[in-house]
Amino acid sequence: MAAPARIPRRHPWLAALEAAPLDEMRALVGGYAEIGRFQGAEPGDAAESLLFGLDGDDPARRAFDDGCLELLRSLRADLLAAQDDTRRLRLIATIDRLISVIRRTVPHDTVRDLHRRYAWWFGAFETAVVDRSLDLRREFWRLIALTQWVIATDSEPRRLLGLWLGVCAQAGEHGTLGETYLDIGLIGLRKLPLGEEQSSNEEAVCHGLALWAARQSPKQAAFLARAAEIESLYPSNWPGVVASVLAVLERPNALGRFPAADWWRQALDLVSEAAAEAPSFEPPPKEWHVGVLRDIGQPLGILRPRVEALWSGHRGYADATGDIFYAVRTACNVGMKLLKAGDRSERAQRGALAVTLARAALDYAPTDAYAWALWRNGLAAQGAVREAELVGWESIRRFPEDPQWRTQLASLLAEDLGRPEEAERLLRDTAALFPDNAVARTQLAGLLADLGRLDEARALLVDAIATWPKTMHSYAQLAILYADRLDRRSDAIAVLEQGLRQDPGYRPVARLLDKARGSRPLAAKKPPARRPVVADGPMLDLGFDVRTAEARRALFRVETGDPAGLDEIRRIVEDDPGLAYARYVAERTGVKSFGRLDTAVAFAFERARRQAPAPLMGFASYLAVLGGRVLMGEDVGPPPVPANQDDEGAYSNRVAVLVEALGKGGAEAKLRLVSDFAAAELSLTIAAA
Amino acid sequence: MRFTRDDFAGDVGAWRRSGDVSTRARGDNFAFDEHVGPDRLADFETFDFQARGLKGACGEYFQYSIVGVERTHVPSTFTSINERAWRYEGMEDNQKIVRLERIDDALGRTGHANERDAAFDRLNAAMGFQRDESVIRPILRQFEAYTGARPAFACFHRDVAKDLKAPDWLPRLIARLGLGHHRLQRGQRGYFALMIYTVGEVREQARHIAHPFAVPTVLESRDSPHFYPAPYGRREGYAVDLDHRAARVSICEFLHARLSYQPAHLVKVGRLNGPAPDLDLAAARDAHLRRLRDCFDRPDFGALMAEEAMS
Repeated sequence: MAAPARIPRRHPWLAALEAAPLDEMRALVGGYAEIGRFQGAEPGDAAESLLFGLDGDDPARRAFDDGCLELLRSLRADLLAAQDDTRRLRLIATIDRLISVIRRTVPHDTVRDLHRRYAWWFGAFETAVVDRSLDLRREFWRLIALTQWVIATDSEPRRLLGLWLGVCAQAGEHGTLGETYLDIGLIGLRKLPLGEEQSSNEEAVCHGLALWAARQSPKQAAFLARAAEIESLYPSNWPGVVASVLAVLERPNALGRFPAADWWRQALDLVSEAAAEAPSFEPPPKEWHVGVLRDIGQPLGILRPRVEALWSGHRGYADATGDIFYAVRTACNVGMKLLKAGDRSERAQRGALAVTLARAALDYAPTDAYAWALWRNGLAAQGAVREAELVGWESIRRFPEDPQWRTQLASLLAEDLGRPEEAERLLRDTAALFPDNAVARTQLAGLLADLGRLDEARALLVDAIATWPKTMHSYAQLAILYADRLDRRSDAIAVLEQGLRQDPGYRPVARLLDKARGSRPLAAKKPPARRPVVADGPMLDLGFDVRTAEARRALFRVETGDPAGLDEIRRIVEDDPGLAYARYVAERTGVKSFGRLDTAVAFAFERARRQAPAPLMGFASYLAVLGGRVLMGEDVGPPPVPANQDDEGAYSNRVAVLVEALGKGGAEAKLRLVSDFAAAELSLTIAAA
Repeated sequence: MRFTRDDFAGDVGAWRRSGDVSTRARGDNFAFDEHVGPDRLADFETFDFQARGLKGACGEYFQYSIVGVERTHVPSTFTSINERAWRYEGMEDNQKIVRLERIDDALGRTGHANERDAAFDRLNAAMGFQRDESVIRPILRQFEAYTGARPAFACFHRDVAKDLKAPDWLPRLIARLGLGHHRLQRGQRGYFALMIYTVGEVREQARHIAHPFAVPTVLESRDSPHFYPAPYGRREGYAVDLDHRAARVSICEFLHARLSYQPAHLVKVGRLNGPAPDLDLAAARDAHLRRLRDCFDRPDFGALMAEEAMS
């Protein structure tokens, strides 16, 4: 009889691993590695046991690390190339097992690569969401959340604060993520590297939980259960921390009042704000902000150090506490004012400073629409108009429900980029998608007038007045056209009089009427239009993967009749099929198909069709239902959650805007808008690969 | 179980001729299994494999036919192709089932990977007289995040009730249930949770599965050398007692459809330090075989490790 088996100190599999790291890691996650008695174990348990006791510089650990990274790269490529749904599902399951092994064993080089090339990895995983139990996006984020300490000394230690807060805010059926993501967001906040300044992450975690509660409206019992879970992790003055966080969040321009705040106070017996703990950190004094805005017209040489000091103070406060509202609002307010004030000779420099502020705000709130507008406008002021255009397209991509991004980009195209024809197509497309939007019509009329197409401009303005009789700008614009371009002064007077009957107190129209009766030109004479000279050299590094913006522009071109866009889409997706939004655009335009699971709307429809559990795919199901109603010609109904004027950043506000926009217009346009909205959640990382 | 595919049959033969006990055990399991019927065998042999060889095939079949990818997957374990292994369906709802879960991974997933001892202590303390569900819930949530619909190995509470009352309940259970993959090395530590629920609760959650209980076959064993198939006839399987010297009655083991845990199912937790007692796998398997032959009155069933390998 054989001698009793002793547990070997060094498992024989390690030798095989050192000889062929990729093959053996593939076997390990595939369940067929020769690991003897660990055969029945989970891959993560088995891996941990196999490596147990090995020194950090053991060649087997090196081989394990190499094998993990090599296998993950290989599986990523296979996943992006897979056409067959069965193969794709199996690859997702295999990657999930590998991610669990990496999470258990934390091979450092592999983990560093995942952090450093976050966007590259995330692009492949973000649409691999099969169901509540198999979700690569969630598990990749969990891995990133748990391993922030590995790269704490390599880069900005708290750089993912905005990401985790965003995950918390969206984790529920009124957001773009399922409720299981709340755990991920909170773990991410708990595990943010502390650096030299912070004692702990309690405040940041409180902010995350509050954001979730304010945006997802959980029931009282569910909220209090979650709050209790967090409280049990932080034994210091928890009620004091909660009180001070709530005091900050409930002010105007933050979250405003929300029901869970009162439940929280009751549960912790916080009878008044006096219970608030004296904050360890405070934002810069309000006087600093007021002073900068008051002196915003000063020469930049004097102003810049004050702006930088103001921002530095807000950033330190945001990093310490997780309260990002002050920082983001300050950056956007100061940035916008910078662009409107000051000497023209400083325009480019002010633009550059505004860009810096916008990018800083987006680090904390990547979905803040004002920060995106500031970024675009700052670049334009700086003279970087090609870059401003790409940011403009990216804004349209990310916020498709709001027509202002389109009309603003159209101005840029016409005035700064010398592409009025494309501006016209964009404005016409906007009018089709948003038939209730007066600005698109009147702006189009202005553009046509500038191009000498006066009759078309006139017809548009007459129609705009008939449709929106209270929009005074249309009367003014038509009157200027009549008086200054068509030499029909009596018609100009009639239009202005018609406008004043609608709104007798509207002074700009009244002043124009005076001018019209006095035979003076109504508008200042414009200099002859000349095609702007657009720089041709290398573009500025915008710090995000501009191919999503290029893909959005190409999609627009294809859908407005320019087939050249197809070649551009083909180029982008062949260059990197890992870019989720590019895959979506390729699918939507027919350039390439990636299987049923890989597009936002496709899997939303699929899941809704199969009646997936509401908490997981509530939002996607809702979009699918919306799309279905559009297809059937039915009324889209009210939004699931009403808009919240107090909470500007609430996703429900965006949904409410979308639903309102879907009230009018043709089915094809509406379906495009729903698709755009669903796809707006793809490829949202700012950092370039 | 007799493969019709030459490559698979060849692998079984080669494993059975191996001088390594674990490898021989895996081959014996395939050779001796009588619960894999012709339909299941055909399903296995014609499965869409990417890997080569029986070992790779087993891994893939386990992952994609048994566990599946989606939560709504119905494991082939519980479908009509596996009717030969279905368990008796007339079981009383109101009887308890026991399952042991290793929770190292769950503790890690909730952000306690570097402080597992402390997290375990917190969890243990939360299991006291006044249970603190705020500590228990986050751990249990992690079980919902595991992929697919893996069938669970379990046993009846009555069969292990005395063991569970013993101070060394955890190593006793690991040994009696044949959980060899949980045997720890010197210096290693593992964390476990004892889950107790009822037959009725499994049925309630598995309403979409007509037959949610089954006898384990070699195909569900993940190629483990600690598994031993039972003779056909009683619709029951038995776990190998890793401590063959204890000469205990074998515990009936079975598979059931995946269950979503509730806090009340977590009854106690245990921490185990390595090293595990030495295991004489050959002796343990031979002792188990003798009990099976006796219990099933099948003196011809299987083959002792001490004998020559069957060709």
